[in-house]
Amino acid sequence: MASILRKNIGWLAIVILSLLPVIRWAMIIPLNYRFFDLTMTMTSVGQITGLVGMAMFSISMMLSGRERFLDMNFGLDKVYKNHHVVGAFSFTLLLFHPLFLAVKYIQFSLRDAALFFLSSDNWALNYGILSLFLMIVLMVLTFYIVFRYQYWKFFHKFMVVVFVFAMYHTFYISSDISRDDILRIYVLSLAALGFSFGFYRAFLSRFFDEKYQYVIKKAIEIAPGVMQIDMEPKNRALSFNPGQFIFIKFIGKSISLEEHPFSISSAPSLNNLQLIIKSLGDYTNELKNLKEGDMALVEGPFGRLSYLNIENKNQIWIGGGVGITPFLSMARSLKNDGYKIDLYYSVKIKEEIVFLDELSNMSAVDKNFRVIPWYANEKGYLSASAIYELSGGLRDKDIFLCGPPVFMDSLRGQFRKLGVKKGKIHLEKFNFI
Amino acid sequence: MKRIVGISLFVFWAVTVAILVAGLVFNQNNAPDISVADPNLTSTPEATPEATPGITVTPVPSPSSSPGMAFSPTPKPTLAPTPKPTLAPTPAPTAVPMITLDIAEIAKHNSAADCWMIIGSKVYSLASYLNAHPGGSAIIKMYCGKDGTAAYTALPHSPYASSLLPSYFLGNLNQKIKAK
Repeated sequence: MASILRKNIGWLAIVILSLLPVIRWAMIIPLNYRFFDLTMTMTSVGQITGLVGMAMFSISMMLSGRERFLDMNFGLDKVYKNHHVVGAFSFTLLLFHPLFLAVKYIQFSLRDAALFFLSSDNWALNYGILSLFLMIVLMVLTFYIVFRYQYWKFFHKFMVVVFVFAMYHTFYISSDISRDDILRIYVLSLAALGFSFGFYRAFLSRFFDEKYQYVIKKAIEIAPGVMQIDMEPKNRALSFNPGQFIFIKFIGKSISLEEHPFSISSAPSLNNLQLIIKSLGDYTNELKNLKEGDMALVEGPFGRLSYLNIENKNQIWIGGGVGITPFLSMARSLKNDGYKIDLYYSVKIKEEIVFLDELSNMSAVDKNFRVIPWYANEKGYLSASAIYELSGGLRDKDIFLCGPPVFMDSLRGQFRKLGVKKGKIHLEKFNFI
Repeated sequence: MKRIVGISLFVFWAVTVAILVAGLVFNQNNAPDISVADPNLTSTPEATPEATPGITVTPVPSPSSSPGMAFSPTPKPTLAPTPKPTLAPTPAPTAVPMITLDIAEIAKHNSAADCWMIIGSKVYSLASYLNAHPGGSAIIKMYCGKDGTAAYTALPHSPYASSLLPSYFLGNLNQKIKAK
């Protein structure tokens, strides 16, 4: 029971914070008045959607940053996932908010209801309308229009403006919030927190977040479409756990100044940082232009995908394609301290595999570290049952997955079907878009 | 998640467009100068979020009655901040008909269109306020023609709410006033 609580504490916190305003709302006026007749019920639902929607909007803003506290406790990928879900949910609630409130006016005339939707001299209402309209535009851009990440990111920052308009509406409109001190203080606090985090992340973080400066020593192609980048710290070196990732911005000719996340492939004990990057899109293609001497700005480390975070030393590591990167760092950190590792390295064709020699050497020296390369064109897709056979069962083993989302989802599903508990499967998924 | 958002967006636009079209395009016969006495539709721009509701509003009882308005169908003039022309012939200066605001008289005005209520031994005519009431009109209607003091004090009515009452004031309980 306690462990279930601990695992879901993030979700629980979000749900509780979002529902607290409803509890207070229910205390202000007896519920039988709130749900007196159909019109009052619709109005009450409209009020509740507004309250919960605004609370969730605030929480979503709080989850938009890279706060170390959140990453250390939940993992940055999960923080972003929650940001998406909470944000989308708040949007849905806020869409229904004016619809339910309009019922009160429809009761008298459709014209009054229509006027409710259009702006008037009521600026508190106008800001609400503006805020929702702008939110719709930005959400359509987020969910339905596909374009380059950097442009989407620029537009998404306008959510801060949406939030400010929403705050104006929330606190100036005549409502339960304006009539009840406790409710107002609570919603205001949540909103203030949300605004601070969101504003910092959107506009200030680039100036204040700690960045490590690195110099490129080597940038070479080690396999078709796969680059190895070795970097030396200019001043301070980043310290990290094997398996973690960084956000990096390269400063070089013909390379966009965008910032992207990559797992670190080198061992933490080294001063120099190594990245293995596969050409997957516009940006990663540009990296071919990197030269020795170019600079890079590194932010991090982030991520909770590390073999060190798990007590169980019996582990199966499964890397698909360039997903081998975090496992390289982990393998290079193994120090004969009792870990029994089966590393499955799956690629489509033999030519794609990298560092197999180094991994095989490690395996030769450490009998508790086995490397099993898997060429999909020869043996078909790597499957959970194959792993079950080759590793002598999955009982009492913790499984780490890293690779393309489809690869990870498929294997995770197969492992679950074989009876592996959810808590024993560890992966990090980046749906930054 | 994307699907839920998509459906919500669709519903939102469908309902909004339907209301806008039905309300503006097909309701041309509504008098254009309808003022709905609702704090959420009209307000002065200098609203401040005090402990009391932030928007100050002078409730304006609808100046004209028009077909289709549920809350002021009769030509009977109601108490208003601005003087209104009465529809009844001006009574002779010497004999002004008077009524007493006693329980029996008040009980005659017990409908949504004509709603007199006792609150704290004062009598108010609330017909034009019904739809502006944050707690809904139904609950006021329950006390039309009756004493609503208990309900008024039991439910949260801020100083702001109380400040609205004087505009609807008819007279004190059992006071003699001019017949309307």
